[in-house]
Amino acid sequence: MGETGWVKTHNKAKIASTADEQIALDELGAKSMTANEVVDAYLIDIVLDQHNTPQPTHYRELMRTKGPSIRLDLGKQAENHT
Amino acid sequence: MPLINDTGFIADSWVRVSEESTLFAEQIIIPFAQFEEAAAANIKKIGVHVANTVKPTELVQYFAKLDLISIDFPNFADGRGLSIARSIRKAGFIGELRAFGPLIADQYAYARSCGFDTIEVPEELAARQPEGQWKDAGKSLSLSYQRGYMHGKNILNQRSIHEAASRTGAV
Amino acid sequence: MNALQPRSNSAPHMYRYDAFDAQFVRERVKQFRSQVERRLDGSLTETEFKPLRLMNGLYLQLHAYMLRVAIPYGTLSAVQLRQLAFIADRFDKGYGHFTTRQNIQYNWPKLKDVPDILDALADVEMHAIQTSGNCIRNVTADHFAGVADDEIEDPRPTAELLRQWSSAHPEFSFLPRKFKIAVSGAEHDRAAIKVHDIGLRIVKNDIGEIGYEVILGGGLGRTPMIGHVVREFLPKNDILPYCEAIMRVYNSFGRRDNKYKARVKILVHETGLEQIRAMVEAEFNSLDKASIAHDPKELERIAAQFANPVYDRFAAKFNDLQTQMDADPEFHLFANTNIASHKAQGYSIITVSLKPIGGSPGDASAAQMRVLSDVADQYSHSELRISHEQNIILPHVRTSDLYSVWQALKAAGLATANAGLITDIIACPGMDYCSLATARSIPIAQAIAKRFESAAEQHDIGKLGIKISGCINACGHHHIGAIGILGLEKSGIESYQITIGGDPTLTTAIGERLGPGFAADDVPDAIAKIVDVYKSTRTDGEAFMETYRRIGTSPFKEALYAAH
Ligand code: SF4
Repeated sequence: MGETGWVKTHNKAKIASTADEQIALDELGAKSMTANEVVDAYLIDIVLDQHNTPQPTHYRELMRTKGPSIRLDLGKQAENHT
Repeated sequence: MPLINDTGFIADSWVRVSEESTLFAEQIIIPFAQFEEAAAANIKKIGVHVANTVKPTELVQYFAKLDLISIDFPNFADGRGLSIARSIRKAGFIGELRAFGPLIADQYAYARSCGFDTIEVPEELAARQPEGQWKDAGKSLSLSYQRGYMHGKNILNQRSIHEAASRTGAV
Repeated sequence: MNALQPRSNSAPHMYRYDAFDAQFVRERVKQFRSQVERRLDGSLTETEFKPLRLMNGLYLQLHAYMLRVAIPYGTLSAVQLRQLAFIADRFDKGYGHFTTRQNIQYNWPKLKDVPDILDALADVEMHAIQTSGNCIRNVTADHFAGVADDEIEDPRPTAELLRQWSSAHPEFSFLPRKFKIAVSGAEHDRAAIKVHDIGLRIVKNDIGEIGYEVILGGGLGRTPMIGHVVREFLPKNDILPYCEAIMRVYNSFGRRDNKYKARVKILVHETGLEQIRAMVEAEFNSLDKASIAHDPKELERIAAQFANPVYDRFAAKFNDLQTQMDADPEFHLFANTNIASHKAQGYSIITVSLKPIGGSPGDASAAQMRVLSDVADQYSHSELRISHEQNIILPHVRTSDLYSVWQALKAAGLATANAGLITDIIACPGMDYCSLATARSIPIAQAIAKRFESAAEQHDIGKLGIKISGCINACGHHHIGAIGILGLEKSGIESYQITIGGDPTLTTAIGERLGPGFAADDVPDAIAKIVDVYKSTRTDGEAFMETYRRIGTSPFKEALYAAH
């Protein structure tokens, strides 16, 4: 979820830093699932990297933002793959 | 709540009676635990509602006095009621067998095959899945592989017929 | 080419759909197409749609949807494999993954394309029905069925009968949990029947009748259990009523309060074998069997289609294999591991390994699938098999053709000589694809394979099965690997637990855990230490499992964990 709606990459994602913001985002996700806009929305832990871009802390979500670690030509990472 | 059979959404001539209410209607569905009470009250037609943990063998002795058995489906993914229906039919119950709960249209044919006559679903579900979807879903698989179930043309039986016919030279 | 040896391009010797089967599968596709539409228009919620899509093999994974296609009892024709290649190119990313349950998985299909993929499958008599979900799953069987030299009877007719019987079963499509059936007809168990919900073993009784030994309640996953014999001898004609009885008992009494306790193995365990047997037998006896059982002619009709090709009598005259092996050391290695004996003289069974060093276990590219189809057409009566070891089998190859086949495979990068060896690693997709995973599996398999890359070393180590799962669900069958590896998460990093001594055959055993887990990078070293213990303690000709049984786990534990 980005500023203007759902986005396909994580780097423009909205960030919740307080418990209230978390609840609000969670509800937004649940609503969008009911409305059939997305299939599975959940919050993940992140840190901001040197470009102030959010990056997941868990290797599972990191994998999601990239693609299979054994096929660098597939998934979202494929765009930067040569 | 909306009621469905092969013809579509139909009016319900039965009244569900909860624990507190008095027994007044001619055709009532009561919790199984209250059966003796209702039987004593001289009511025309009695149906009972049972949980999906009921032992079908416990119901057999009441078959003659029951015009309807309603089986609870707490959620659509819990298939226990289907086995109960099948066992009840196998034991000879000929009254109306009703599935009660949020079953989805896609399960209609399965429910019919296991012996149910009607399905009673929540309003919300019937609004999302209107009559047409139930009718279509009921017809979507016209063939079945399981012998002894009640719905759809049985493939194994068809094959036997073909085989016998080809042996006697009828085909 | 010798005129006495006509090449067979005939239709493969396997079950073909009749008009009913074809209509059934088409209707199922149409039904799914409308289910997708009803999901998109909101008639079905995601909760409602999920079991429906799962029952058509469609998962939601980490990066995309995944479609799992059934290869019933692992038997596949060249035409079918070519179609799988077509689907990989047209609707996916040019490859497919063969699983431990004789399925193929596509990792990148689009939801809107799935009904078209299912139609493309129906064109070649295939489907994705019940490859997932809480229903009776794709029935599996011995991948050497029909050609093994230790076979009592081909298990595939039974498996096909059960495939049909379980398809869209009105009563057993909303079970407490998934339900897996495997059938074996041979003395050796190559179908891991004791770790299935139902394992059927075709047996002969005292008076020479053929029937089934019924094994119930095996399974891997969180609580691995070995199945128990519930019925020593079940007459053939009772198979459907007996299965119906088992399923009804399970559907009625299997736990639904906890998904980790919902498999039939837990019901058997908690209720007790004697009690379960009594319940099943009581249900079975209450049934009007004649109204449920199949017509014996139906099984005959199915069996007739699996009749083996007419083998060439003159093929037996070939006796140059040894000479060919001696002349070409590379072929020699291949012949040692990837060729098995066939019941017909002069014929052999080839295992094509999908485990090249550094590859993803079980993956095949569309191009490789096409090569295999061509090879099967030319040399194996147009027939192939998928093994639960994630390899492809060419079941009817003349021994005199082995060398030519090997050359063709080699040219396509498909001649890895490692079947059954330490680099023939079974691995589930793990966290590279699977949304349930707790750790990756494929990179671990790759690192181990690289470590033992040397053919000489692999052959010196001999038979040793490594199996890797990326989570407790155990799709990689790690419990029954001679060495099993389970990927878990430990404080935010991947950690790998090693077990040893698992056995997938009739002497089924669940592997024993050696100790705390290892970081990903340390796994190859740990495996090397285990192998070193074996190499330094084995007696002449002793296989890994034999040494293990003789010396137990302690020496291995010591090697891994003793303070240095
Ligand atoms: S074992 Fe776990 S990670 Fe591997 S495929 Fe099965 S569910 Fe996914």
